[in-house]
Amino acid sequence: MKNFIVIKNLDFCLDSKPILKNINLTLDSKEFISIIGSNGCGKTTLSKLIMGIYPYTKGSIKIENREVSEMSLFETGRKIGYLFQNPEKQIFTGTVYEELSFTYKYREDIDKKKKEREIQEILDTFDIGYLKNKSTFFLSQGEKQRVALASVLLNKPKFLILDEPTTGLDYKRKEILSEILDKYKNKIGVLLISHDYEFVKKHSQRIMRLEGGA
Amino acid sequence: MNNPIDPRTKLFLVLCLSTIGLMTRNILLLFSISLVGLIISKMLGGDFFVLIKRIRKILYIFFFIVIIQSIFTRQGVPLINVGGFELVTDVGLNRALGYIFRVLIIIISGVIISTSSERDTIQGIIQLGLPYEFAFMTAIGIKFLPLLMEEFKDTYLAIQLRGINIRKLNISERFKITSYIFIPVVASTLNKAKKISISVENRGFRAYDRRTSITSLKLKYRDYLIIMISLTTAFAVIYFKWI
Amino acid sequence: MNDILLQGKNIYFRYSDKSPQILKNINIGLQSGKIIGIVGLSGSGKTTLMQILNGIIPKKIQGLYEGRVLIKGEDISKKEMGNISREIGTVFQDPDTQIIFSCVEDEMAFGPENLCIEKEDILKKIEEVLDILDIKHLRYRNPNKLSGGEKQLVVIASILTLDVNILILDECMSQIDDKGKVLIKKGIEKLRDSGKGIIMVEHDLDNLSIADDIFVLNEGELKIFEGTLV
Repeated sequence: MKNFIVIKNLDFCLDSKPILKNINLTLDSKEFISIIGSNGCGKTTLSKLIMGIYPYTKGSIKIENREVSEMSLFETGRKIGYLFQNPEKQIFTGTVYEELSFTYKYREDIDKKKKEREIQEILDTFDIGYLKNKSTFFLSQGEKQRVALASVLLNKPKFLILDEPTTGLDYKRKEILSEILDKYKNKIGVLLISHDYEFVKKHSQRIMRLEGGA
Repeated sequence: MNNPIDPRTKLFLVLCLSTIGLMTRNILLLFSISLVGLIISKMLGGDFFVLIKRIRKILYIFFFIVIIQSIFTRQGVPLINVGGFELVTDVGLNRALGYIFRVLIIIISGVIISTSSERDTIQGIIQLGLPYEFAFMTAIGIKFLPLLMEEFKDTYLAIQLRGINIRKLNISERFKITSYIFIPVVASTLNKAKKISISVENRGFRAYDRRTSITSLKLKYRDYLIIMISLTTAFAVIYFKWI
Repeated sequence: MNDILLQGKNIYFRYSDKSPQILKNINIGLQSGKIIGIVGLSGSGKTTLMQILNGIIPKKIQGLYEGRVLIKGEDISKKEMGNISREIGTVFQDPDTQIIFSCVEDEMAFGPENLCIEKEDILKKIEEVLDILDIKHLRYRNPNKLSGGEKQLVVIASILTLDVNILILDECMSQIDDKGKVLIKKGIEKLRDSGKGIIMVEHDLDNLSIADDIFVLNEGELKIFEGTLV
């Protein structure tokens, strides 16, 4: 879908400090776009505004023609999967299997009969079958990230936002993440927030730089 | 934070307010102290209403308890009678209001203290003669509370971003969701606490018996004036037995 | 010949009888005026090795440990953590667990105040470090409200004010953008030139471009890196 996310004339201040100025951006549903920029330029803030985590008052953000300010968090979460910079924030159960089953347990709109098949598929796609019964407490940073991303993708979002996913990953884990993203390319839209220019260049169809809030 | 009033003066103010608050049962006096405290906190730049907004969910529980307390008090003259059942008495109402005002005074005291940076507050406590470790631990403890609230908030947010409509869940499911938030947050906080303790030791914490400071507080004329007024007022209230 | 500031001799470590051997016969020496880089995959034991070199293991974290660590010839096991902090400054991976205060200046003053350095010297050092890292604009900001990379710069700054001779940087550049990395590397080089010894642990070889020697930690063993940096 063209214009899956449309941002128009967005201004944003945090604690009276201007962070974003006159942001205009359009993202299509199967596009892979990256936003790069220096520390503190507002990349993560922009991603949180799109998700509705921060409220905005000036400008417009629409997802599938619906204003984000009129949507609840669970509604944006159903359309866009969000991977936090620190994946620990989105892992809340005891084992990897429970984590992947979590959404099936509490969402009324998901087909629960497909649960086992879909979980197995994602374990295979992410190559984390060996972690199925492992405690989430003992996962490494890279493993946590894969489990968090897998859980988010089980929601079948149409779009994905990844906030600095390569932080703390060695080259081997970056390669694994790369492979996973390649599997989803052209099937799902991705907004990658990163300062890792090599990784960004490898995957993105479009790269935008955020500097001075614009 | 560049507040001109010394943190020790604020500590003293808070001590006076909370002492009278604890000692009196007079609702009018409690109301007056709360109002005075609110005005002081506003003059010092504190934002009472921002804090109330942040803790409003806890306040709902608190008000619920207050209402229960006032309903189940049998002593005194009945004020609200429903079908022969004494719902609220004057003693019950008095107790409930007293409870509300005392908690308000505690919150206002917290707002007053928070108008100084934790660095200045630590320095103030040290210059009052208390050990640095005590002051530092208190400041870190206070810092941890909003961190804990942030963690709860982030985890709750993450659950909703999984597309879960919490309002549509039944009570037992909502309760279960709360337990999902609680465990990782506490585990993460304990983990952070351990790392912070290693980090501060790595920076020489308690390496020696004494330490220097780039901050040094000096009480000014207005601090002495505020302390005198607070002391006199508190003393007068106690002396004239308005308590 | 440069002084040997820090030495690790015949270091072996595992967390328990049942856990795998993480470090096997590690020998490492850090000279003054040198930067050592250590690279390795996640889980290879880099952070564990750093925790042994700065005394956290076994003083704060238990495990089955063998070997010796010497600071200028003195056995670290005979020193208290507080005294070790006069010699070794460590920047850990997660800035949120190293930031205590709500003002950058207070954060930077904390360490030297603990070590009884006089007020004027502390303020002078703060100015110097803010300049080296080009973060003067952050001096009175609340570090908790900064971005991940800015926070890490503040943490590095707060360790640099300690004026230690040995610096251990454990993946400190993982959240920093290219501009920030250039600044930090510049700062580290200045420290090296002033005679400090620095150990940098990183995932990314590119971050170790300023290292004099690079070692690879793989399967518990430390070996010289024999590739070339691109």
